[in-house]
Amino acid sequence: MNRRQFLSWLRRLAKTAAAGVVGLAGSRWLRAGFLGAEAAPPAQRPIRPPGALPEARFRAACTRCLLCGEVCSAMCIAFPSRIEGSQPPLRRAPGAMERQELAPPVWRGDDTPYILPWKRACNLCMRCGEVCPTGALRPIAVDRQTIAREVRMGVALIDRKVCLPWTRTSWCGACLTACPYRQRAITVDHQGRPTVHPEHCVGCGLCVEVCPLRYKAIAVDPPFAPDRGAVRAE
Amino acid sequence: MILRGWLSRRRRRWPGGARKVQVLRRTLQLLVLALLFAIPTLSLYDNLRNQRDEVGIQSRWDTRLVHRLVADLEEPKALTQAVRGSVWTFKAGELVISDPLAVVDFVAASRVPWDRFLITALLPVLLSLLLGRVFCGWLCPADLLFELAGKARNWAGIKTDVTFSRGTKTAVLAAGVVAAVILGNQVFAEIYPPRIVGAELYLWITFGTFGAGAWFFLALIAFEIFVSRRFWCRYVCPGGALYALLGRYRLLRLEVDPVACTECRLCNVSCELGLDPMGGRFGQDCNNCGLCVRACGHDALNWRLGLPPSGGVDRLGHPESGVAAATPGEPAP
Ligand code: SF4
Ligand code: SF4
Ligand code: SF4
Ligand code: SF4
Repeated sequence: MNRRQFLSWLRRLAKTAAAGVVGLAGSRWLRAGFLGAEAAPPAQRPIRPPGALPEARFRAACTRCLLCGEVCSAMCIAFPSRIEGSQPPLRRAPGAMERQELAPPVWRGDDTPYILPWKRACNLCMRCGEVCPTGALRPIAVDRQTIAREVRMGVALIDRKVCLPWTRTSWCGACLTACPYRQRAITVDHQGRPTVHPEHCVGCGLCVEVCPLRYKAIAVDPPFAPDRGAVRAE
Repeated sequence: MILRGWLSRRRRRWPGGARKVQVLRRTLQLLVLALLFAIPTLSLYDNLRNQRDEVGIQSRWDTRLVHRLVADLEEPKALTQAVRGSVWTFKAGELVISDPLAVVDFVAASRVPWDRFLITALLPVLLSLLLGRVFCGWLCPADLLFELAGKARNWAGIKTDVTFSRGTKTAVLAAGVVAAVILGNQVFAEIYPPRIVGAELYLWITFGTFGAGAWFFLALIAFEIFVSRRFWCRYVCPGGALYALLGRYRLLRLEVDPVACTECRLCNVSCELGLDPMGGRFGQDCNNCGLCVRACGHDALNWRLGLPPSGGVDRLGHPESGVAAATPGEPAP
């Protein structure tokens, strides 16, 4: 290749790069304009399917084949392109004069699988780990004890300022009924007020799905935060 | 040789044998596209059925159709769970086949030299070693749509054709691998059209929405129609670059018969990728689509199986080329 050829190659390369940048930026722009975001209720976060590797390794390993979503018997695995959360309103002082304006957290999906437990929760069938070709989701035996030991999609947290029995609004206990590890992961006291025991909670989110309040009183806190990176060791 | 003999024998029997090859190719492409529609529908049906969600099944025409088809079968799951995935990662029973680009992306991002996942690309890699970019021309669902865009372009009579360097796609592949290693995140999946087509169909059928890839793909189609002919496959596709590299020493090649060739250049005009089959400079980029073979009115162009000639290209009238040297009537340079 002589100098002129090289220069023309460089020029053509630059043209291609420019076209690529315009295409990508344009598609980003279109996506921001036209794709509606998933709205997450306050304090809710997307979680990973069961058996997922720690977040950084998961992103590296997942090849975005969508197989896990196809086989998910609860149809809970989603590939959202954008999720908008909002600030938990109850963390603010009720009568505060100064409203703190906090930007709502936004998670950008990149075609990796998430579970949005306030919409549909995982029923622990463990098909996704079985089908995953890359090992981004580890296969886990379908067995109560194994699942209780191996799966930690997150830990459920109850907001006592919202939960019906805790606010003495009404009787409820829906989360207790839905929990596959009821009386271990969730217990209720003599007034029907639920408590989560993190050492037994697998983070399936079934309690979140059934919580009758629109702004769920219970949320699954994942062992990572998609907007902050890993915050807790698995 | 075998293929050529077979092809020419067929051609003698039925004029337009190369057209039959095109029919076969289109059938395969449409079959892949149909599978990309069918697999999400089947898996949706399967999941609804697992949930005993009769209302959900009856509320959509596609799942209703599947239900009517499989309801009377002894073992409906054998059918509805038979195949999963897309051309990016395809799963039929226990057999998993994935795109070599997915494996490259996986290795680069997770920085592991060996994983069970690597085996899944074995079959496509072997095929590409023998046949070159055969995936591009025969199976890729995006290629079909890009070819349609090309037809639309011809129909509208758009002449603008900005060209770029064909080596750019190899540069894209290399840059993507470096980016994946640095970011620790896979980069090709979101820009690779065959995966985008499959994934967007899945998202549309399952969730009723499109993802970001749909916009990217539409922008590409528009760019190909109005600005640059077959832009993606010719200049940018990292998958195409990988297949081309794998097919560097492939066995299936085009061969020009210098006696029959009248240098009318019909084949060169018909080549979607802008290659030069008449001059033998189809190189690694040829995706075996066979449009040039069909275009040739003199039976001068054909496939053959064999190693590349010592000159590197089967150039018409090239003195080193075995064919041309052995044949009298070499066209004047
Ligand atoms: S365990 Fe089953 S229900 Fe849960 S995410 Fe995986 S496939 Fe879906
Ligand atoms: S099956 Fe595994 S590799 Fe495929 S999208 Fe799901 S997590 Fe990623
Ligand atoms: S407490 Fe909630 S998230 Fe935890 S195991 Fe029970 S239902 Fe699942
Ligand atoms: S379901 Fe929700 S409101 Fe009811 S007890 Fe559980 S957390 Fe409280």
